[in-house]
Amino acid sequence: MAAPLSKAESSYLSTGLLLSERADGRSLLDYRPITLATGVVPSANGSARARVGDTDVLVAVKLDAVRLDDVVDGDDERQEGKAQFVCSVECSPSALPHLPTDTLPDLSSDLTTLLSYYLSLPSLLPLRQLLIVPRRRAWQLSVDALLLSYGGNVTDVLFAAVRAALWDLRVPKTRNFVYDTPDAADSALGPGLGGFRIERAGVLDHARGLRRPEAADFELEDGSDEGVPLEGRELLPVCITLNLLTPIFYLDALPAEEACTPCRVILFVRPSGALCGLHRVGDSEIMPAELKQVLHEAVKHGQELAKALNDRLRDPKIASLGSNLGAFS
Amino acid sequence: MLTSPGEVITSAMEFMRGHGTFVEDGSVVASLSGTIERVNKLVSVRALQTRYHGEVGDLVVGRITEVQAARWKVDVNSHQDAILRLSSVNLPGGVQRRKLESDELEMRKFFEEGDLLVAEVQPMHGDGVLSLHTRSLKYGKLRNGQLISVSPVLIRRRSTHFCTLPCGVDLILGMNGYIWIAKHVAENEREGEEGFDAEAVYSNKNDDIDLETRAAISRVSNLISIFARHSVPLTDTILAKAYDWAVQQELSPKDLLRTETGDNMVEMVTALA
Repeated sequence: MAAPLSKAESSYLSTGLLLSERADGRSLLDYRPITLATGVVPSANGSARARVGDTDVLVAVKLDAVRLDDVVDGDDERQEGKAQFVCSVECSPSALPHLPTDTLPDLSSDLTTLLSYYLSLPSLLPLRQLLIVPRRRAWQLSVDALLLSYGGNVTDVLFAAVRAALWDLRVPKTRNFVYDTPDAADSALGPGLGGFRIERAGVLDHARGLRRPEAADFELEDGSDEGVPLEGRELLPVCITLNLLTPIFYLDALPAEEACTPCRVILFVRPSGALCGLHRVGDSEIMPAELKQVLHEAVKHGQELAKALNDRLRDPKIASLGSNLGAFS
Repeated sequence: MLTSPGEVITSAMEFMRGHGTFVEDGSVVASLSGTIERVNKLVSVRALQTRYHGEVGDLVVGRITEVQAARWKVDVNSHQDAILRLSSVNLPGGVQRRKLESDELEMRKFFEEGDLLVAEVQPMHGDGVLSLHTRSLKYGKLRNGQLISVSPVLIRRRSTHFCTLPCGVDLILGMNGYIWIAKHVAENEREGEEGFDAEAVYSNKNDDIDLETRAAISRVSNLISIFARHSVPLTDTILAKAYDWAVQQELSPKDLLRTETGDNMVEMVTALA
């Protein structure tokens, strides 16, 4: 991703890394300060901007109510078993001016794939909360990320921003209602409705075909602009990229360091310390023994990062972009 | 003198409009924010945030982007890549040597893509493409250090752009905003002093650099980025002062990455000056 380096530069940098003396004086496992701001896009349901060094990523999450079409009876689980989302990552050409314009879409699609992997991690998105009318309507997340400028370590910054945007997300409160039919009136409030409150609203004939009365549609609750935060937002995994330059590894690479590191491992770590995803970038090989030690270390730092991000997001002072987050001090 | 877009500079009757200006209602109006420059009757505005505008005799640090027939393309932070001709570099075997066909076939032996070099700007072509030359022992390939890029407006034209800081670090302040920070090489140890040693001049290998020098290089590099963030023009004196301040405060290069430390540093050092 970074501009090509001269041989002298890359050997200077890699020798420095092997001696644990990095280009900007950090030690191998030091992070640059992370700046986070939430609620930066007024028209989105949740948004965030994250900055680390020169890397700047803006993420907006929008909720759309979509129909769960083609519902087959008894197939509820499959239909509702996965949250609906669409995502995209755009890279601004001005962020990577040295890249030929035709390689930008490749980078965007790589990052989009990674983001879609992240969002489809099991139990990441609370299905229950995103379901509006059982078997009929659900909230679909549109997660859009924009890389505004590039200063190394894009993946970590991207997912810090995605995580903060999901944290910032407010799911609107809804109320379901049923079109009441005369013969179904008595059982309208019966069991098996998935705990959704149902109100009777008028009498319509086309609901007669239903086997049991079900919520047919929904409306937004009055006077609730706020909505509810996403359930389990504190448990969202973080992304941590390990740059491997055998025998050492380091975090939060600068663009020049990225250019002289043959291999990177992108990990998704839950705040509990559970590892839930692993991607390798680059073409050098990793020995299993090496990987084991690396993963152990990475999970520890992932947990620290998650804790630092959670602490900051809980703190309302985060609202301004000026606040600093020293993930590892 | 500074101006901002829309500001009336002067009357269009007496002056001609140059770059960064337009004429409206009989006056010359600025279209950029920047400094006003006047050459006889021509008024132009030079933008504060801009890419490098080459001038003959400038010292620049550049990066090879392409090897072409008998010339290299060099990124010098300008609107277009500059050109370095094979005939404008020192070839092995002495300065007076004729350019041979075999040289053309092994151009990558001298400079290849990604290589950094320091060069001087020569009179440019009609289309505004800069051409460079490295026909001096001071110029040529760079090694033993790292590059940092700042806005070109922060580098002032000076008698020499090769500086040595007391902390044992050599600086090359390219007029194009690229700054090379490297380990200090004593005057008498420079390559090419006794005859031209092509092997050493075009070498890609670094010398052994101890940890102390590496720390000094990172510290200088961090100081430069702080000054750049605060738009303080860079000179060797201000950097030496800042370096002393950082050492006095017992700040490691890493501590300088904190915003507050940087703000303090700029305040202290600019107050001293």
